[in-house]
Amino acid sequence: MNNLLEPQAVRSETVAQDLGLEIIVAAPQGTLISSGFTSDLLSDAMANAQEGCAFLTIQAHKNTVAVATLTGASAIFVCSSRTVPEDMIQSCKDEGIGLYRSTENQFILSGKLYQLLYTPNASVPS
Amino acid sequence: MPRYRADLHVHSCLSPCADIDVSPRTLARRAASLGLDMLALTDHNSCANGPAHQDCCRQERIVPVFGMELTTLEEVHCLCLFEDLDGALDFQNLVYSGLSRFPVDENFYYPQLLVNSQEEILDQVYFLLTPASALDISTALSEVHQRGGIFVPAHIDKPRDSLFSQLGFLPTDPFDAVEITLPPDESTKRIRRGKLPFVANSDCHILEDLAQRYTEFEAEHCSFGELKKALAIARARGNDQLPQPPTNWVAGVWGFPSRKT
Repeated sequence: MNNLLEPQAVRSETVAQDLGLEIIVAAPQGTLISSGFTSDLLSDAMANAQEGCAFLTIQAHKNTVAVATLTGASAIFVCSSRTVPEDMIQSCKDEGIGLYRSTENQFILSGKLYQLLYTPNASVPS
Repeated sequence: MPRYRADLHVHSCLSPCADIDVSPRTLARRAASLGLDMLALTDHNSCANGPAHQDCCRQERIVPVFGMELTTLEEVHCLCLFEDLDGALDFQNLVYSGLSRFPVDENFYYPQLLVNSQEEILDQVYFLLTPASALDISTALSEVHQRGGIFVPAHIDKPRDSLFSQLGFLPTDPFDAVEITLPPDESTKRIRRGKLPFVANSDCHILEDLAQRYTEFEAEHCSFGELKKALAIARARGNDQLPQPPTNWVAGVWGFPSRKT
């Protein structure tokens, strides 16, 4: 692996496609994802998630959107096919935050995102 | 106006973490002997000992409140309180329908006992009652309010299972109050509870815990409706300036957590 400390920012459309994500609310056009943060404890994400990140979690509710907004996250990736409530979808639309869903759990999806952001020439295993 | 004492956060032998001796009967008797006027039974995600709680409170002439300590989807513990057993059991059905069915491992947990007012064991709940339900905090609040209930995030100044440990902030949902476990001035140093009124309760897991903290409220008479009204008044007042407690108080003024001396 090369350049471990400097991830490449990747367009949200590319990330969604390469990771096989279901698009629930597309991030605004041109949104870049520059890192990832995986946690199911929102107070942890609020303290540690970085601006521009994709926030990977199973916490599918509108308070997750509040944390994404506060931290400047680019998108939320809901893992393990969790049900996404309507008020969460609406909040993401209102706040301009992408909302995507994966059948994978947090570990696998984090691994795939890591591979995409940190080793841009590698292909993401399907 | 008269003042009434309520302990609104109490577990019975239905909770897998509560002492097996804590039955609705022993709770109601002790509550009456300690001078409580109102007692809520709030087992984890369940109101199933409610019928015994109703009978025992009536026998001791204290006002029963029915409810549960809900674990929300975010793993925030919240008190969901109802005036009548039917409303509580209806809410319980909703909670049960989304609860993961983990078996109770008796190496780690006490059996979850359903008992009657004579402390006879009727049955057990064989799936663990403590895990996260499928209701997020906003949905849970709305469902409780639809059933005429009171919704209070529990022990918000604790570093686990609380609004602040799980979310890290106070959402804008219309909570009826928040529950604190530390004296108000110490609690305020640790958390920002906005302008919400607060209640204090024992979170009793063993009998000796009961009423070691309680909430005192002013009302025309002691009833769930009057408690709700007192909370609404405190909420509308929106005053987060703490009044000074009297120096030798046993029972606090409204909203103060109180310790027996």
